Amino acid sequence: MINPLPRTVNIALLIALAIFISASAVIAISGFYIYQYQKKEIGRAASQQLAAIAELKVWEISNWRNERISDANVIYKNGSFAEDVVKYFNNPLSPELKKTVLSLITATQNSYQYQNILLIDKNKAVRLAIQKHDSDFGVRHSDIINKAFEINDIIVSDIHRDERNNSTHISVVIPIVMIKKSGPIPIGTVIILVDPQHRLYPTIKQWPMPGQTGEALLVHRDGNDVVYLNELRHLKNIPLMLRYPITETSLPAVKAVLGSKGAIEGIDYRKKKVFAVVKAVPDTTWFLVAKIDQEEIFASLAMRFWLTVFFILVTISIMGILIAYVWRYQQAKYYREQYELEYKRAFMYARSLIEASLDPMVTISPEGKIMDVNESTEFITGRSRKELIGSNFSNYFTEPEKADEGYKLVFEKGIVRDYPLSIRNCSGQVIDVLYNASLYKNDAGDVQGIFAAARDVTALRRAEKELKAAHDELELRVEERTDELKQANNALELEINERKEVEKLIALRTKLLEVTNKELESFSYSVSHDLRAPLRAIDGYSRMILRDQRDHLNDDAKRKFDLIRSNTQMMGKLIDDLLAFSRLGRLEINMTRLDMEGLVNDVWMELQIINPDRRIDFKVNKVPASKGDRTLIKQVYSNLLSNAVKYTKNRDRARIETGGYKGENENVYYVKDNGIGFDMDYYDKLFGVFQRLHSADEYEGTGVGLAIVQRIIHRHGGSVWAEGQVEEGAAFYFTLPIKD
Amino acid sequence: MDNIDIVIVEDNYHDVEMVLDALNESGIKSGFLIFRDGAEAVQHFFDPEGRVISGNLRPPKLILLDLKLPKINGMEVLKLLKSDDKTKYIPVVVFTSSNEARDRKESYKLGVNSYLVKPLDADQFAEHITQIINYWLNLNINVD
Repeated sequence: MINPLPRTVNIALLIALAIFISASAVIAISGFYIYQYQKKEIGRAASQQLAAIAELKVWEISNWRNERISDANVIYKNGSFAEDVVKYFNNPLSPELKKTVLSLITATQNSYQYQNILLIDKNKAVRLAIQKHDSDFGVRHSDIINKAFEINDIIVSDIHRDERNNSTHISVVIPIVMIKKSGPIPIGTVIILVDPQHRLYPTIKQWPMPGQTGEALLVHRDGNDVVYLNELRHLKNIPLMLRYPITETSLPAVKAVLGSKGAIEGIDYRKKKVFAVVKAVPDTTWFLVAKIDQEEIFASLAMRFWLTVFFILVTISIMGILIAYVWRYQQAKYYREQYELEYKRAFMYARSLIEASLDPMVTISPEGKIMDVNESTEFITGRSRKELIGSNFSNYFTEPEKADEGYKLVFEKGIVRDYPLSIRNCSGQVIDVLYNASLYKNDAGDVQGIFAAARDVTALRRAEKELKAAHDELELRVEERTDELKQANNALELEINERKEVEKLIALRTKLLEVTNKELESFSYSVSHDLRAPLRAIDGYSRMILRDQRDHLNDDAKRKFDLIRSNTQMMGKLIDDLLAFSRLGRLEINMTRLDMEGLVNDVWMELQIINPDRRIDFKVNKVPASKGDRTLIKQVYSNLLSNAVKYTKNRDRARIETGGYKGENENVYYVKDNGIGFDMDYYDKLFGVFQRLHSADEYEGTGVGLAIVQRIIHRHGGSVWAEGQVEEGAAFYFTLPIKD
Repeated sequence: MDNIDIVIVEDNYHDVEMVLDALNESGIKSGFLIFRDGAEAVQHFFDPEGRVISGNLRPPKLILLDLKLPKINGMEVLKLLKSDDKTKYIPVVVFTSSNEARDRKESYKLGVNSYLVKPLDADQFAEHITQIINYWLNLNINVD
């Protein structure tokens, strides 16, 4: 059996697993932090880039604006221009004067492709223009013109829209004044209309870096809105028309007009997460927002992320495989060692078994040469292992031919059992053996030789002889003993037979008793049925005669028929009582605790119902509780009390008293009355069946009542007696034993 | 024969006469059949194989059965009648002189419809038998 891995190996496995898990965790965590760091770095680089771009854009816008102001200054600062304009206004039809004025304006126009340059007089009327214009142009610009005169300087307007032709402009307003001693005198205004589509918007729009989402915005605040001033890269819009409320604070543009500066993060008008840098444009209300989608920034990061994950997984897997490989190697090594140990042990075990066997064992080659022997073979032949191995096996038997035959038999049948041979050992001694042999095959099933094991039966044969002698002796002794036993048996049998006789007798008696009981039962059954049937017939026919022959019978005959009928009823009652009495002897008694006082009262209630017109003083004294059969004891009281009622019927004041007291081993109960009593001389007849002390005419009844009382009390183990005096009353007593 | 209301199974001729007299006296008109022992009664209702002889006969409205009968006793007859689906709905009144608890118990166990003890008093006898027959013939409503 291979031992399971020892505990230390399991602990080593646990440690390897722990190293593997913690190394994996370290790699995964550092991978995560590297990723986070890279993300942060990229964000910072992007912000720096955006800041640089914003800087550049603001610089370009400012430059552009300053150029426009320089252009305006050429006109504004020209001292003679005002005089030329005055002259021209005074003499508008002079082509020379017009030419003089126009030359400066045209020169300005030529320096930059302005949309239009207009000369406007004090009355806001356009006096000269390079391009077509609306007639009310001056009037519409009056606010800004007035402001320019007020501050006496060039004003660069905000970008504004002209709804009539959907164009966007910036107006540069140049006040033209004459300087006099009294102060400057306004003469007119030159307005240069600048189209932002030309140079300004392209400047903003142009993104110096390669990329898909980089964009610069120019915005300003208008009331509670942020207004996009330029054309957007990702949305086709009309400048100044796109606006968002400043409550949408996630917009970088809103953040800009609300005062955020530098690098910010937000969600732009496309609902994309962006990095942005905000910068105010000097001298204007404008803010420049340079922004780029985070997605684009982090695009390279996603690649790096997956690379990192891949690297981590590869590292963990390699580590896992390495640990698993080392583990498997260790395990295989352990099991190999265990197996070799086990194999050796099993081999040693098998060999010791073979050597320990008392039976001589040999292995014989197909050529009949001994290949292997055990110690017993050495012992039985008296020759050494060295001598035996390689020699012919049949040499060692008394009958080598018979040994050869047996040997061949093994090849034929595959197995031979209890083949008798005799070995002759080196000292010439002959030993009887029984041979058991079977074929010996290699894994491929080729016959390699035979295994043979001999059993020395010399001792067995001797034992057999001894056993037979012992057996014979034993048999003799058994015979002797059997005789003795037989005698004892006979005596016993005799005794048993005697006992059986007695048992038979008892069984017979029991049977007899059963039969008697049964006969008694069927007797009373017959009595109740068969004795009654003729009575019923007598009564029935008497009744029919009385009914049918009423007219033919005289009164005496009728009276006699009535007597027949009443006697029949009496006979029926006698039969019933007799039956009841005879049954009492066989009834089973159910002992329970009895509330005697309750019992007496119950009986008395029933008697009052039967005798409604009797007036009796009835007194119940203390009646101790007892044990007995409820129905039977009730019957006792019923008989005694109804007797008392019956025999007091002639008394004016009938008195009946009942009660009891506790004796030593029994309770005593009594029923007393003040009736006609009885003569103690006839006491013997009192409790007899059908015995009466008074005539039936006087006192109805069958004479069974007291007999029943006596029988019930006797069956309870108690006794009954009575005291009486003629015309003075009677007292009846009974006892019930107090049992535990 | 096709107007049988009452089947009386009774071995005592006097009792039969008293029953008939009581019926006559009370004016109850009914067809009846009398068997003098249990075997006659059983042969009337069952063939030798124990199958009910159904024929075209209407079952009686009442069987008045004594318990103590020659050959086959009343309890056996009751058992046979009450254990067959075709006869168990016929009302059976046991009319006997026995007031043994054992007989009462056994009769009700087998499914008797009424148990009546024959009174010794002839007046009572006539009254009881009239009442019970009147009840089963005229008051009680049977299954069919």
